[in-house]
Amino acid sequence: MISRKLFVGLLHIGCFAFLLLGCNYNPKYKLPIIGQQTLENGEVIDHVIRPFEFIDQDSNIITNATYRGKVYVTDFFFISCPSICPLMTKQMLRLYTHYEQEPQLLFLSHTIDPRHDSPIRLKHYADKLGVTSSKWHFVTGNKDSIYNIAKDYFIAVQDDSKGTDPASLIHSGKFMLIDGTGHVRSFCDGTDPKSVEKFMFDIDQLLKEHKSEK
Amino acid sequence: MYRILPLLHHNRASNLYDTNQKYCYITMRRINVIYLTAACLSIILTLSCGNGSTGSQPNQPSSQKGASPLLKEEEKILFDKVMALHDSAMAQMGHLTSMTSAMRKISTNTTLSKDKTDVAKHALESLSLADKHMWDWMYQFKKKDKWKNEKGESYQAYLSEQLKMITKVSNEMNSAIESAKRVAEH
Repeated sequence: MISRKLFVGLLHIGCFAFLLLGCNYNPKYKLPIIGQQTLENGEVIDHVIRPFEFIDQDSNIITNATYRGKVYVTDFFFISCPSICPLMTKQMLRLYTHYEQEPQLLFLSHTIDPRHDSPIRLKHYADKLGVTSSKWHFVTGNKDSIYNIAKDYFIAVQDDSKGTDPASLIHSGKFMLIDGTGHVRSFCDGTDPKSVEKFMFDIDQLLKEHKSEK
Repeated sequence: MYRILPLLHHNRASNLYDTNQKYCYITMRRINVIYLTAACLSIILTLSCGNGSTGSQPNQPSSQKGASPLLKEEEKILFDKVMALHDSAMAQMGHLTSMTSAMRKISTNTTLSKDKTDVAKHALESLSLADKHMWDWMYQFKKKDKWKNEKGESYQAYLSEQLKMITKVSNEMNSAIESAKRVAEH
């Protein structure tokens, strides 16, 4: 009798633990690697962000190496933007504040107006937002390089069915989540608070995946 | 839900058990109390950890994105027109960059005739100017909260002037892209 009751009790506790753990993190679930795969020498290669080199608000050189082994959120904006960029910055700042104490998550914002957005102007912009350079890099550089790297990010998240040119998405307001090896793992509409909220679950998931692999 | 029902009526239920059974009953009662609390907590957690929308704001239509709440009705109509042209010009920015790259290749291709490379150079200049004018327009455009009345004009008059400017820039961009496309195709 006692063992039966004990079994039922344990079953109840097990159900509770399952619900509690199940809603938070499933270690078997991984965010997909987004983007077209290619076949090289019989090996399937996932889409990966090509090497880049830009200058940030402190005039430091920022490359892939800056983000290697870290998870990062990236976007494309420009300071004079009168339409969607202020909304994007508000949401990016929301993410920054939420993950400010998370050392494994960094931010990377590219200006698409390098002629006006100099490192000094970017520095002033970053200071006004109250963010630290080591956590959130605002970068500028050669215009062609910025547009080419934008294509690299957006080609992964474009809607193939609409035949979208990845370059036309440069002012789409998208945020993209990149893992420590340069794969695009998630994206959202950076002008929509609800979309960003869902995106935060993906960030949490990738951070947990990232930490479990270390 | 084993044992839950009798426990809800424990006065009646307690009469049904002997001392040993009462001990088991009390133990199970504790477990059930823990379970019920845990079940409530899990329901709350499950609901709260879903894709909820706490703190979210409703989606704004694209025409209202970036609009200032300070705008009067007439100003808002003009502002929306300016932004619509700005958005359509920005959507062309990718094509403009692609065409610039294509014209650069043609204009420096030594295997092509001089006529062809000259036309490409001309198209390249038009693209570069259109690009510069677009970015310069955006750099000088001010939303109401940042606009300073320096010429003694109203913000509405400023927006009317800006609408003319962005219309001109947008037309220039479209024309430059179309010309470059024709050069690339022939």
